[in-house]
Amino acid sequence: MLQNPSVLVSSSQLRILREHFSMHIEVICCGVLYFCSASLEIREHLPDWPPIKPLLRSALAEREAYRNHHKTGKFFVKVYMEGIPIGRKLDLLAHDSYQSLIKTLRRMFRTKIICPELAQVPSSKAHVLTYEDKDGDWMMVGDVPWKLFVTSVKKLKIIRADKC
Amino acid sequence: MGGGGGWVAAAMFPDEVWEYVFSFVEGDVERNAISLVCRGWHRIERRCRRRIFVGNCYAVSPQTVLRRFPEVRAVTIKGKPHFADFNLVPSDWGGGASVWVEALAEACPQLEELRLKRMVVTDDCLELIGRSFRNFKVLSLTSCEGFSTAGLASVANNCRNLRELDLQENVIEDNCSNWLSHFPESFTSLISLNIACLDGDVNLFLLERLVSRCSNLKTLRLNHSVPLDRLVSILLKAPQLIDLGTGRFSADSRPELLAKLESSFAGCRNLKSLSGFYEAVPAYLPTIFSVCDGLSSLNLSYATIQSAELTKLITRCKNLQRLWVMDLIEDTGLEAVASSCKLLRELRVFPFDPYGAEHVSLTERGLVSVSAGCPMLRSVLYFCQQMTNAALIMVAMNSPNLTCFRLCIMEPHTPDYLTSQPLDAGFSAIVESCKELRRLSLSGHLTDRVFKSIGTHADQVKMLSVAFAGDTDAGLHYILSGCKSLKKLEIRDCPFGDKALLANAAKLETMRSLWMSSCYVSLGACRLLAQRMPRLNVEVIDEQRGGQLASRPDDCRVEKLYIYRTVAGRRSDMPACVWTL
Repeated sequence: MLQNPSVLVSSSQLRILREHFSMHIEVICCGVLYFCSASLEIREHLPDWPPIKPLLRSALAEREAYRNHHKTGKFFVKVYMEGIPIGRKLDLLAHDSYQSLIKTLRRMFRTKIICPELAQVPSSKAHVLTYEDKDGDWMMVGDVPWKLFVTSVKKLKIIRADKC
Repeated sequence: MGGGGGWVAAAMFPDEVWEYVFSFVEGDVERNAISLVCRGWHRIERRCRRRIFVGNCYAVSPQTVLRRFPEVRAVTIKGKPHFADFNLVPSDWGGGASVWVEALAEACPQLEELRLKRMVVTDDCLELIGRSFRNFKVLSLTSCEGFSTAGLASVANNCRNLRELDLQENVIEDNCSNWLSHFPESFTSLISLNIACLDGDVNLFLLERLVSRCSNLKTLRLNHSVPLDRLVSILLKAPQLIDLGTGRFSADSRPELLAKLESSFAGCRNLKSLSGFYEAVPAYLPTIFSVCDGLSSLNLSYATIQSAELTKLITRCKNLQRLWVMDLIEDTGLEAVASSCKLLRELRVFPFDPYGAEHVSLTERGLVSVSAGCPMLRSVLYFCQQMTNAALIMVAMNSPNLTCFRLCIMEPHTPDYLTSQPLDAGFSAIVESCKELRRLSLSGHLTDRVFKSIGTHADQVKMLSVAFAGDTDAGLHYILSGCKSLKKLEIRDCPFGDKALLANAAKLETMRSLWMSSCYVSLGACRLLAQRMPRLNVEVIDEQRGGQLASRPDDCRVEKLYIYRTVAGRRSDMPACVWTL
C-alpha cells in the first residue's frame, strides 16, 4: 500500500471524497487528520457533524490522536486456527503492521502464514490469515492499510492456503 | 405633532423628563415600542438610547445605526451564521468588524462597551478601539478570529479604564506572549478577565502581578497553560473571586500541593462559578469540595473524569443551577445529580467520543431522571447515541417549563431504538407541552409529521435547528407557515426544496435569517425569491465549482444558501464563493 502524502481539503471537498471515492488516503481538514473512506464508520469523522464547537472538537481530537499514538489502550481479538477448537487472544494494538502481526501469529500457532504483502509462493502446508469485519464478512488480511484494518477487524482465523 | 385635538404625549413634559423616564427601560423590544408611539417620542428616544443589539451585521449599515442613535454607549454585533461554528461556512464568507469599528470610532467617541460574536476582528480593529474610545470599559469577543495577542497588547496598552476583557472560544494567533505586560502598572480597573481560549503560554509572573493589583477582580478564567501550583498563588491573591476558570487541573500526586490548593480554595468564600479543569485528574478534585455548596455554575466539559469521581463532586453541589459535563458521567451519575441538585436549571452533556468507537453508558435514561428530579430545569443540551419516544414524552411531562431543548443523537436518522419508530411523537410532545420553548434542535429519524406539530404548537420558538430530518417539502412548509415567533432557522441535509421556500417568501422577511445546506433548493428558486423579495439578501455559497453563477442553469442545485432580511442592500465584501442574487 503506497504511503500517500497528506492533502489539505475543505469540509465540503471531504464530503465529496467520502461519497464518491473509496480511496484510502489521509486528508487534513480544519487542522485535524482524517481517513477518507466510503465506509459508514468513517463518516463519523466529518468535521461538521456532530455539532461540536471548535475548541472542544480539537481537544477531543488531540486526545484521540494521543491515544492512537501512545497505544495506551489494548484491543484483544480472538484468533482461531482451522481444525483447533480452542482459540487464542491477541492484542492488536501491540503491533503496528501486518508483518509484526504475522510474525506473532506464526510463533503462536507454529505454522507458516502467507501474507499478500510478502508475496510468497503458496504450498500445501501453508496457511492464510483471514478476518471477520464489522459487517460480518470474512476477508483476506492485508488488502487495506493497517490502521483501517485495526478499526474494522472483529475476529481472526487462520485457514489452509489451498482452501482459498 | 400628533393627531388633531388629541392628547400629544411628547408635549406634556420637557424632553429631559421623558429621557429620564425612558432611561428605566433597557430592553430593545420595549425601546422600539416607545419609539413607535409618536414622532416626539421617536425623536426623544433615539437621542437617549444607550444600548444597541445588531443581530446580523449585514442587516443594517453602521452609518444608518449611528445616525439614528448618536448617543450609544454599548453595542453588540453578530456576524456569521451559527453553523459557522461547525465548519459549514467558508472561512472567508465575511462578518468583518472593521466597518463597524471605523464607523464607531468616527461617530461615537463615548463608546464604552463592544461585544462581537462570530466576526472577523483584526489587530488593526483592536488598535483602533484602543485609540478611539477614551472611556472604553468592556470588550467581549466570542467565536471571533483574525486577531493575535499583539492586538490584545494594544488593547491592554490603550484602554486605561478597561473593566472587562472577555475572550470566549476565539481563534487567536499567538505572536506576543508578553502581551499582559502592556497593562501599565497603574492599571487596576479590571473586574473580569477571560483568557481561557488562548492557546499558548501566558506569562505567569505578569498575570499574578495583574491579579494582585486589580483588587476588584471578580471573574478570572485562565487557559490550560496555567499549572496548578500557580493557581494556588493566584487564588491567594484574589480570594474575592466569584467566577474562576482553572488552568490545567492535573499534577503529580503531591500532598503539599493538595493541601495548599485545598486551603486556597477554602479562602475563596464568594466563589459561585467554576470552569476550566483542563486535563483534570481525580486526585485533585477534592480540593474544591469546600466551595461546592456555594457553586451555582460548574463547567466540567473538558474534564475527562469517570462517572464515580464526577458524581462524588457534583452531588456535593446542592445549589447548582448550571452543569456542563462530559457524557462520562453516565446515567448513574445523572441520576445522582437528579437527587442532589434540586435547583438545576441548565444541563449540557457533551460527547467524550463523538465518533462512537467507545461505548459510554449514557442513554435516554439519564435525561429522563434529570427532568424528573429537577423541577427548575429550563435548558437542555444533550448528546447521546440512543433515544425513545417514551423518554421524550416523559421529559415533556416532567419539564413543561423548558425554554431551550437541544438534543443531538449522534448517528443521523436514528429511530426510537425500542420501537424502531421515528421520533416524531417524542418531539411533538415536547413542543405541545413546553409552551415557553424558545430554542429547539432536532435529531434522529424524523418525518414530516413532526414539523406539522412544530408549526402548530411551537409558538414561542425563535430559533430552530434541523438536521437529517423530514421527507418532503411539506416539512419545511409546516415550519414556515407556522412557528409564529420564528427568527432563525437553520437546516442541513434535509429533503426540502423550492416549493415551500417560494410559497412562504413573505415569512422570510419576518425572520432574521434562514440557512439551508445540502438540501434540494435550485438556483432558479433562489433567483425567483431574490426577484420577489428586494429586502432579502439571497446568498448562494458554492465552494466547489468555479465559474460565474450567472451562466448556470435554473435547475442547478444550490449547495449552501443563506437568506437574511436587510435594509442595507447587497453587501460589497463577498468572497469569490458567495453570490448575492
